[in-house]
Amino acid sequence: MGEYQDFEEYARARQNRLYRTAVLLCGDPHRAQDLVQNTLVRLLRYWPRAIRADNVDAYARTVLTRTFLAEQRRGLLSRRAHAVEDNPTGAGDPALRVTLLAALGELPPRARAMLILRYWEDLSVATVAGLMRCSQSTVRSTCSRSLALLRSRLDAGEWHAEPYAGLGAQRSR
Amino acid sequence: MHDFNAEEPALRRAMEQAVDGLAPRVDLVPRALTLGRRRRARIRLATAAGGLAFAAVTAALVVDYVPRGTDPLPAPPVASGPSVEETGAPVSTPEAADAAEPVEIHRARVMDALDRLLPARAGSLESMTDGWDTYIGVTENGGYRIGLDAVPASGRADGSCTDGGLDGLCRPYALDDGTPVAAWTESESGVDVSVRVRFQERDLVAEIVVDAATNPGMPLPLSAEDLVALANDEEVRDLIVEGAGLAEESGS
Repeated sequence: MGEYQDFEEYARARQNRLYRTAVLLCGDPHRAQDLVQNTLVRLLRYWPRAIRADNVDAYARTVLTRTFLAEQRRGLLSRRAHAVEDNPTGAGDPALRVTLLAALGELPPRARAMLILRYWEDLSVATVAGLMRCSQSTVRSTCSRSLALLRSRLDAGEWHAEPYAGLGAQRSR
Repeated sequence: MHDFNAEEPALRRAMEQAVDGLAPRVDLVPRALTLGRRRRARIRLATAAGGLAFAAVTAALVVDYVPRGTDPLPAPPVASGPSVEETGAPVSTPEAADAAEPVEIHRARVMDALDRLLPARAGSLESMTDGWDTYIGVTENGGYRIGLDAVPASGRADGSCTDGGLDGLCRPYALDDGTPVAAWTESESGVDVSVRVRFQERDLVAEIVVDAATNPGMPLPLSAEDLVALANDEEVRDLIVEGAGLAEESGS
């Protein structure tokens, strides 16, 4: 199988997942689409190296996160980042999405990325620290502060929403 | 004390529910394939061109180094081995391109674009090592500098002459897509010594500058119109943004 065909199959299978992560990072469905597009282009550029990696998903996640942080630094996402525009598909819980993305938007980009990697991507503290090039204690303290802020922004119903219990097991990777 | 561990599953569930079922509006894969293939092709070309130039310089140095005397000399090593023409450009694999320094690849691509787009009067171009995205042009009248730069737009000029803040005379231009361009020309004793064009590119303010201030009296080989033509090229604009990102990453 050719490398482009490999890439195409992988990208098709993963673009939705990458997009959801990007929405959490950017807070804006349109910017998220741009971010995933840029990520896929960069992933293709390094595809021969990516497919030699033990875990292509981890490689793609790293490219996505670093592209996000680089674009933040360059100001490419600053104007509309966390403008909290909703997706017209109405998927998920729009009200919760607006509240959660607004709360995430209050976090600095690195803190937001750490929180999303730790809890949305379910990565260990050590893995997040490696990806973010910081110490494990920095990840722990940043995530604790970020959790406290999110808790103060989301009401109790959103925070402990029982109907959502069990969704984690259904999540598609 | 607050139990953060107990909150982690709750946050995870909230995130899941917030974005569950979201998908991009369009399939992003076809465009990624097109852009990615194009970018890899450019990098291969740039790497191959760099390798060929290196081989040529090495060959020239070896030839120069052969001692010259009255006695007949054995053929210099390069003459007995395969020539550059015979070997051609080094085979560049994607892995080799990936391993190359992004900055070097970027500079090679900029040089390629400048060579392709600037008029012949721009002379020969070389990449400078001191100064980010700065290139030297050499004409029969002397050398001058070409610089590419971009900074976040917030708090900076946006491409109109009313922004001010620069010396010289400003004239408004526009790119083909209507993007306004401010061209600042600085003169000394009636001779133009620098031209600087500024325009908005995505969320950045991009700048292309030609400067002969270090070579007093030398007429600038490039005009504001030449720089606007350069700015009209989509690849050049991409390269300026890419260069700004690389500069940011390298901390320069």
